[in-house]
Amino acid sequence: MGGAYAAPQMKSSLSRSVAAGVLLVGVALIVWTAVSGPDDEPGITETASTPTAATQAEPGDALATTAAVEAAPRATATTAAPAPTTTTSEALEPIPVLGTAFTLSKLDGWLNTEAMSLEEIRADNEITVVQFWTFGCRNCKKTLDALGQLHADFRDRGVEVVGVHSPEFGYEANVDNIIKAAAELGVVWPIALDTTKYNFHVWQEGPTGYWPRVYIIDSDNQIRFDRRGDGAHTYRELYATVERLLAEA
Amino acid sequence: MGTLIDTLTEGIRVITWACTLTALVPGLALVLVARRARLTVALYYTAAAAFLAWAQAAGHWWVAARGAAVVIAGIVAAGTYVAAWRAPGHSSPLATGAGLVGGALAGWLWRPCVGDRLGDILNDASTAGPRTLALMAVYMVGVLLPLLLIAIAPYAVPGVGRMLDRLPFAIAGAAVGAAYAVALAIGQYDDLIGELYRISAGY
Repeated sequence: MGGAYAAPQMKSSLSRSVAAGVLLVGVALIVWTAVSGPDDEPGITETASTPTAATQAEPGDALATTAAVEAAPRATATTAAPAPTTTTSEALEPIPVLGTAFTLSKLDGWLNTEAMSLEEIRADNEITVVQFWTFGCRNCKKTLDALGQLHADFRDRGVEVVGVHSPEFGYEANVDNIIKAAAELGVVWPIALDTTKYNFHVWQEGPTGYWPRVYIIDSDNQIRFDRRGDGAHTYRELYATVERLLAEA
Repeated sequence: MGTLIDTLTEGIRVITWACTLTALVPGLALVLVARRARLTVALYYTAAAAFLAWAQAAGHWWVAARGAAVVIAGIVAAGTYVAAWRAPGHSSPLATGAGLVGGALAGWLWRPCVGDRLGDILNDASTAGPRTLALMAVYMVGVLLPLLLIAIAPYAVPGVGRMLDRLPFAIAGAAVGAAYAVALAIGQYDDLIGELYRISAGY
């Protein structure tokens, strides 16, 4: 066992220097990341404010154009970007239909609503935004301001947000904890309690589901938007896509 | 370049989060156990974890981490620690195998905290394979940076190597590894991590 570990094989000063360099850079990266603080991206505020401006903008307004371009599928956004401002909306690709939405079943109940099913909520609205989240998930929490803004801006225009609460860990399945967290986090839109994660796995095909993941369901029960992660651009696209779908309705 | 750095730092930023610990802690334990092949184990562990995490998102891996598959994973995980312990050196197939299999298990079982950059990787995985695989590897280097640094530290500072070679470190790694394997096999791994996270979150 003695002397068996491989460091002696790399005794050259060059090897040691390289190893020391890598070690220093690695430690510096960790320290720098820790010192620069949590990633509470300004994007959430951006997400909330930029689309609002876009909503109120006159045709041809640069903000409106940006939001509209971002609503296009990512692969085509670059192509659409240089289009003349006044004709941007004509140059946009249609919002793709990504498939038929599933229903929500085997739920433990609902919070913040008298509805008892996703169908009831869909029947009362043109568009339904469905987000899979859990209150212990930090990335999910970062999206809540943007969702709150969307909910506030569009709830009177036939758009409802549904948070499907699918717990990752045991303590997140406790309803009292969910109610407390929802109040603290300002989640005022309907929450579907997917305690067994049945819907989490049905909606997210494949071996792994992700938090957060957000969908837009149109009035024909078709999925028109599907994104994972908490990116500010994701929630800007979400907002702009809702706007476009409302305009097309 | 900016994308690479942002991806790396997003990985580093979540090192202490519960979702990351599920991949990091078993890897750290494996590296501590692999006293004669730490760097090999760490590198293969990182590469395999990145590949499996990407493969799932890209739709190339369809075995869900549920039911009997997880029980088998627990047994296989125990095997990786035995292999890492017995690996005679860096070129040993045991070291390579322990790193690859241990990393693959970690990538398969990982339930990531999906931030901005990782969200983009996952969203585009099925349509932009090579690019997203490379970015996933960069992200995973960030997530697993502590174990990579521990593996490389003995080459920069031989005293660290001598310290890590002491039996208590290997025993600590083996104990964590055993707990990991048993928790997996009896289906309690998520609950174990969740309980730690609940305590730290104050619920």
